[in-house]
Amino acid sequence: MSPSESPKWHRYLRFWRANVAADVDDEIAFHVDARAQELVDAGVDPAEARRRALAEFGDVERARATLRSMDERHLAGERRGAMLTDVWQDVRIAARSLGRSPGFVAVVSITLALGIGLNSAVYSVVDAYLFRPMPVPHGKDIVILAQTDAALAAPHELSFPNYKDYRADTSIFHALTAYVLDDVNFSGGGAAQRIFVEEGTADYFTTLGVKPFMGRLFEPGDDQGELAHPIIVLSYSFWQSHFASDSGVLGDTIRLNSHLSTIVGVAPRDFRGVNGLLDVAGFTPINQTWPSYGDGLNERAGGGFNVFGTLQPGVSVGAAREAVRAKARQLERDYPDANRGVGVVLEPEVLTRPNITVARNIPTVAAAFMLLVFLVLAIACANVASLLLARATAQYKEHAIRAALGASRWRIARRVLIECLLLSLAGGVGAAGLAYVAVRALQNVRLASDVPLHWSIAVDARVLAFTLVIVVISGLFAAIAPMLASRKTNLSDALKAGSRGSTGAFHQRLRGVLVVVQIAVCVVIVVCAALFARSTANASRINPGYRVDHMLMASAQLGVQGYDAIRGKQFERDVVQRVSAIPGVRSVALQRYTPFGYNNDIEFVIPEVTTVKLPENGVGCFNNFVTPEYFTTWNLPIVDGRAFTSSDDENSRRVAIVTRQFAEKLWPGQSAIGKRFKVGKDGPMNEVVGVTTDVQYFSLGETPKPFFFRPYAQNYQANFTLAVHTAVDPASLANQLRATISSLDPTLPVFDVRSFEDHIRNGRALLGPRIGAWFAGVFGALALVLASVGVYGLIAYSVAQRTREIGIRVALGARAGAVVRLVVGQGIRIAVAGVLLGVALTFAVTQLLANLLYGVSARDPIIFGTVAIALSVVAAMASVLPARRAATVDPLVALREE
Amino acid sequence: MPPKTAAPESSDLDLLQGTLDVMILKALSWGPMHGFGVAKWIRLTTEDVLQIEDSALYPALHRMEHRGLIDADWGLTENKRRAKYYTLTTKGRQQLRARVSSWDRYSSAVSKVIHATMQPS
Repeated sequence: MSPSESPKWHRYLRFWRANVAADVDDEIAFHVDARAQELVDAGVDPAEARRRALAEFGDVERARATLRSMDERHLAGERRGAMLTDVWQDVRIAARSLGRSPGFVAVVSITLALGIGLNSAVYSVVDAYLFRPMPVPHGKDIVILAQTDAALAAPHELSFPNYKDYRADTSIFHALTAYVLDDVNFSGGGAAQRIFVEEGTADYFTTLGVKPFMGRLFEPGDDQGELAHPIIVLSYSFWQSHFASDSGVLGDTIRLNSHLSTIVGVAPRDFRGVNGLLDVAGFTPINQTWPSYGDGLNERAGGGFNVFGTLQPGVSVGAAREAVRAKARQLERDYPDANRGVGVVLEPEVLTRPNITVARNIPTVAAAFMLLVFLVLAIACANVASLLLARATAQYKEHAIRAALGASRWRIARRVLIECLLLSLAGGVGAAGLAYVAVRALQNVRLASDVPLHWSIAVDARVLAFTLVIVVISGLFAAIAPMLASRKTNLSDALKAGSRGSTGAFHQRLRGVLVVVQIAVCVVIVVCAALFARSTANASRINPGYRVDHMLMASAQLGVQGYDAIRGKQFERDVVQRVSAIPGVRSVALQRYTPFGYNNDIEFVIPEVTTVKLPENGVGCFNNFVTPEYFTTWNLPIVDGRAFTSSDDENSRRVAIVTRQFAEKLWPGQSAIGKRFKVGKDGPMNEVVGVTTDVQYFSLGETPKPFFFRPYAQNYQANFTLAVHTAVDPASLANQLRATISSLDPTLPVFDVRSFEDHIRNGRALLGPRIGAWFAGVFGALALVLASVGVYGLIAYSVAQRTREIGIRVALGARAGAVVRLVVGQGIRIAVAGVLLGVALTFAVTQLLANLLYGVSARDPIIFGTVAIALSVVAAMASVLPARRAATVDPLVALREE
Repeated sequence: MPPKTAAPESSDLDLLQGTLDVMILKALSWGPMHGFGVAKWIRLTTEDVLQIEDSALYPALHRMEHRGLIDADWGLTENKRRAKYYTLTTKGRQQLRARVSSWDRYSSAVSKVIHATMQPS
């Protein structure tokens, strides 16, 4: 056997690293040679000696294989251990090195925190509404069934008879449940209150797999017979807040609307109902609250029932979809009148959030949002990479020396990577905090309505895991450029003056373009934010055509409380009288609808005679029912004719008051007084007795639309809102107002007690623009920070690269001022380019916003000018810091360093 | 000396792995030695009673090296040939002491039993 098959010089590789195979070969060869020599010395013939030595050794090949694999395993383990030690050492070195530049660390981690935090916050919303299964045992399996109609754009809820037919097809559905979200008047214990309940078929809880926290849930048959099983299962939160978590409530009765209902159980804590928007107070079987659905349950052409269920085992969503479509066609054939053009959609629950009627565009919107915030993160990372490059250039010499001392390129690059990951991790911690704050802010959004909105958004383990993934991704992303730069480091480069790898002019120009674009985007966002803020400020000072201040409102629903028209009218007269007597109240009126409220009514109006061509079905007009005091209470002037009086009652002819727009639309150029119109084709005629000024009713700043008023006395309304004009701060009378109404009927809930100013500010009128301005502000601030860091990073890197050039300039007599001007000039050039590009972009973008703005031009020169100057100043400031460093360059040091 | 092609059943004594380890440790207690030296010392010392295959010796040496009982390094023999020398580490020395004392107790106990003259009562 030859000592080894590989050339001798391979042995010397051992100087760098062990050569397992050759070592084993050598060791065995030495043994055999030594034994053979021993035998030769004892007088054995050399060939025979070698044969015997080999024979004595045993199975050489097996021994060789065993030894090699043993040694290789051992060596690999040792290397892993050494690598871990090395990495840990690098982490400590990186941490110490970063610790020496706290300012750098702060800027980088804040930049990353903003980028990552934005992603986490958006993800927490997307996750809650798009990914996370319903928090119930069968959550992952729940599907939603809804009806489509040829005449309607979006799917809507099923009619009960259709629902029952789908449920009967047990080849598709394992379970199929219908429910309705309803508001009911609740009294029992404390003050009466309007609450929201989900009314479901008896299988409601079993379909979801929900088990009671206490007592029982629905039983089969609970939904049979109108008010035959008046029971309620309380939600955990309502049981906690209204029954003090008293386990003795089971069997107690509470009043829902006008009837008594028995508490039979409490739902588990984390179950908040199937609807994704409201925090419900409880659950009742269908048809067990009054007013019941009565014939509504048999009306095939009706709708309104939300349907969810689970599929039979083995039935896929696709197969189920086919099956329900076939079923829909059959139902259309069987009931051609009610089901003409009625189709059906079936979707996994997770795709129907927050509600199947609006869910269609949600994934697209979410994807667009995620992409946008990811782009923001990419920009943040690019800026960070720029800062790191500047730093790496400054540490250039250190890297070169480490490389010369034998540190591998990978080792040096690894240290850069570890630095990036550490910075990213610091950013991630900040990001989690930011996301938490953002989500809290979102959860605190309240509508000007006593509706228990529930935001299922939270920064939880899933969001934190997502954040960690983003931390790693952004760390890697930011590390790419500086790692490549560090790999180029080698000793000869470092010793040769001026040579600086090949992070050439092209990359520098690319970074310049990136920063210019950032500034431009920043201009767009900041201008939009400013426009929104101005618009919102203007809108809140707007005069909608009636009184805004010193107005207090309160609402109640008499119908569901069991009032008939006679009792209801009496109650409404009494309440006006009692409230008028409260000290500090100037006047009181009832109205059916509230300006900028969530309820409105459009009626189609057909004039008796007119000189103009109008649509055959009539003119769609917003309208309201009011009491005579309405016009004085809201300070709405009657410009022609008269206001309603107490003699406009059910015994006199039907009258109406219209706005100027209404009069102009129906009877242009004529006096409207004495003209008559009907509401709907078969409605009775109403005579116009007065004309009032135009009002803004639906959105602030709108062009007034035709509008008309009819008196309560001639059109009984079971629901009302009290409008109270006060001489004092309206909020100070809120409790007294509530108490006065309750004194007439303690079981009647009074809700939405708030001033009209609050209603405008936090309601439909201004909440949207305010949230818009808030978002634009946050994004604007973010864009500003990113753009400043971008400018700073770019200039700092450029200064670091030009140290030698600057040194020569200083050596040739350039003063500090000239050096600063040189560097800041570069910053300003970039800023001006960015601002100009931004202004051009903004002109285009803000035109799209023109309709949303009130009282401010989409090209407001003051805003544009201010933002442009402010951004230029910020960009100049960002380049001052590196400029000052450049000015202090010591020419001797700078030239020697190269 | 007969060729050592011995299969396990042909040996007089079953060579327990632990026993081989102790013998290696003992061999190295005299000073650094290469694998051939260890094999030769054991052969001479046991006067060929224990038949140790060389192909079993080396895995034991490498295993002990990985466990830190012995160190290995390349050196030159008197004939100027490169050979891998093994040295006892402190840990190996402690191991040898512990093994020797437990072997003594074990063998004296077994010896007492097999040479016993007292009949079971």
